[in-house]
Amino acid sequence: MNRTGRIFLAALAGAAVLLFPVVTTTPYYIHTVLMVFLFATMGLGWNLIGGYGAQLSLGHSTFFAIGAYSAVLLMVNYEISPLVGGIVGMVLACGAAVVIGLPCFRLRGPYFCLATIAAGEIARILFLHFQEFTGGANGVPLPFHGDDILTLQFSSKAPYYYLALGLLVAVFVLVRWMEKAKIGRYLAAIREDQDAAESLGVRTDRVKLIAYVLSAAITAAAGVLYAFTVGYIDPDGVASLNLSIEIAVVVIVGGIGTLWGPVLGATVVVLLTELTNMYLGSLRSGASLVLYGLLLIVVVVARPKGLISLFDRAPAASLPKQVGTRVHVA
Amino acid sequence: MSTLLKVTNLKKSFQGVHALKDVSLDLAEGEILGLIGPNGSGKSTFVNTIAGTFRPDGGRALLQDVDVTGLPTPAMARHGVARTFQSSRPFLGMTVLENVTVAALLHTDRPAEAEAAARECIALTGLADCVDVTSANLPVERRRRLDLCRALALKPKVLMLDECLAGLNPREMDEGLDLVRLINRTGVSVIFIEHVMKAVVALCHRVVVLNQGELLAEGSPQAVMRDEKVIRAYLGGSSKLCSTSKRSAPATAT
Repeated sequence: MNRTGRIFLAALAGAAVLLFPVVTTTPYYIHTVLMVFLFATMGLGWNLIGGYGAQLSLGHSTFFAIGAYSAVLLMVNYEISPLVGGIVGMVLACGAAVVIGLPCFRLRGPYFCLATIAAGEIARILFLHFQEFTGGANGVPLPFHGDDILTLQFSSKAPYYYLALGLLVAVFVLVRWMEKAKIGRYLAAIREDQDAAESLGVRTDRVKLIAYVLSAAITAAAGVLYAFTVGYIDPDGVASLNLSIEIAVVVIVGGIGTLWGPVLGATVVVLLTELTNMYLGSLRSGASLVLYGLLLIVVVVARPKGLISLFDRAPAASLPKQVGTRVHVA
Repeated sequence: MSTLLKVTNLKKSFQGVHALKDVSLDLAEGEILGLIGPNGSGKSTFVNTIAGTFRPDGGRALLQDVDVTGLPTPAMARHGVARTFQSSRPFLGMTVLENVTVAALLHTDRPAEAEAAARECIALTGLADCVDVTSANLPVERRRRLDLCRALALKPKVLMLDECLAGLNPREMDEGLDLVRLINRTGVSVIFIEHVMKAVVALCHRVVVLNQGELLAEGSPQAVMRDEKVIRAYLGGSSKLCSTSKRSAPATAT
């Protein structure tokens, strides 16, 4: 496809995304696409550490929950606008990332992954335990006070849709910049060979921590928006291992360590979940999950680099002829 | 010539095995120092201990009178001590340019500047024809060059080369020696570990011999080669000294 063709398609896709809530009035459809945006955002954030830095985290729901709970509790208990509470939540999530990251980044590979699962479970149990403050397993409902941008409350889904789209675009631009920046290069070096990276002066612990903290802040922002979209949060909904896994799955299905992978992955995974729920949900409980699981297995086996690799274009440059054909004498 | 790196009484043991026992040596500015010794004599342990991979159990390392003993690896690189690994370790998924750019980012925060510096190093090390080749597709000889190129992009004061010619054929080895000389002439002092004595004699200004973690001999390459102690340390006597190492010998020769 030539350049004009691609620009035309991109404009068409952009217009479709922008006009979607105007065209359809079914809140369920708008909500589904909104969830695609939120998962794409979280996937982009997760990818910073899980993809570019190859440190598999399965504890990201903790940051989602910290963002959600901070904004909701500050609003319900102290009438602080979620615009402020959301920032508090992001800062707290950054703090949590430092606390979790400092000890856990001493571990490598599967041990790091297990440590993040443990940290995530500890966080979930803490949310359940301090029930005077968090409402425990009952969760926190968000009373509706009428449309107001300052309280992030709207009677229609469309404003949330545009907020989520805005967040996604902002995060996308940030990640695209980081990919090419110094930190992106360093993360890629860490992914390839941590010891070799250190020999080149890369302070791997520090680089990983910065990526992890940024990743936590992005996830927390998504958590804030989710909480106000849904109007209710509880530990099993926002702090679960399931959510952590789903964030990682979105990226793995789409294409780990790529810019468009999380966006594509979120689209496929969220729509697939909704479709299987819609058509198989009544069949037998769990039937939709089985199909969902099978499809994931197929994707991972057939396309280990994610669905984004279906769109790979130019093959990588190869060696100049005389080098490639040289007979090597060991 | 003034002393650049001064190592005194360096000690390192692994679960009771004394890999390094009180090794002291000086590296002069602009020097190429050969570090030789039989397998297991502690050469790589020396490099790893100075480079920060291992923490020394005792002793000191001074770089231009600054104490750098036991600093972690990235800090050593920042102080100007670069190293290559015994087995070549390029970032396989990256192109040659991307590999070298990671190293060049030590001196700038701007990727564009780092890329420009990386291109200079790439041209100098003769890799210009494979700038955009993914390093997984490079043959051994190119990977060895890439190791050197990456280290060079760090603009080090001291470069420790741990068998950087391993796996090369004689002609490639000669080109490799020329490259090390070239790097040395840009003002980098070199610690050169190698089994192939011909290469050591051709390249090094001075040679230090390690045996079982101890300093066995020191002097000019020719003098060290004639040293009775050194010949005895290498089992098999003088004839073996002049042949190539096991690794680079053809697999059929048994």
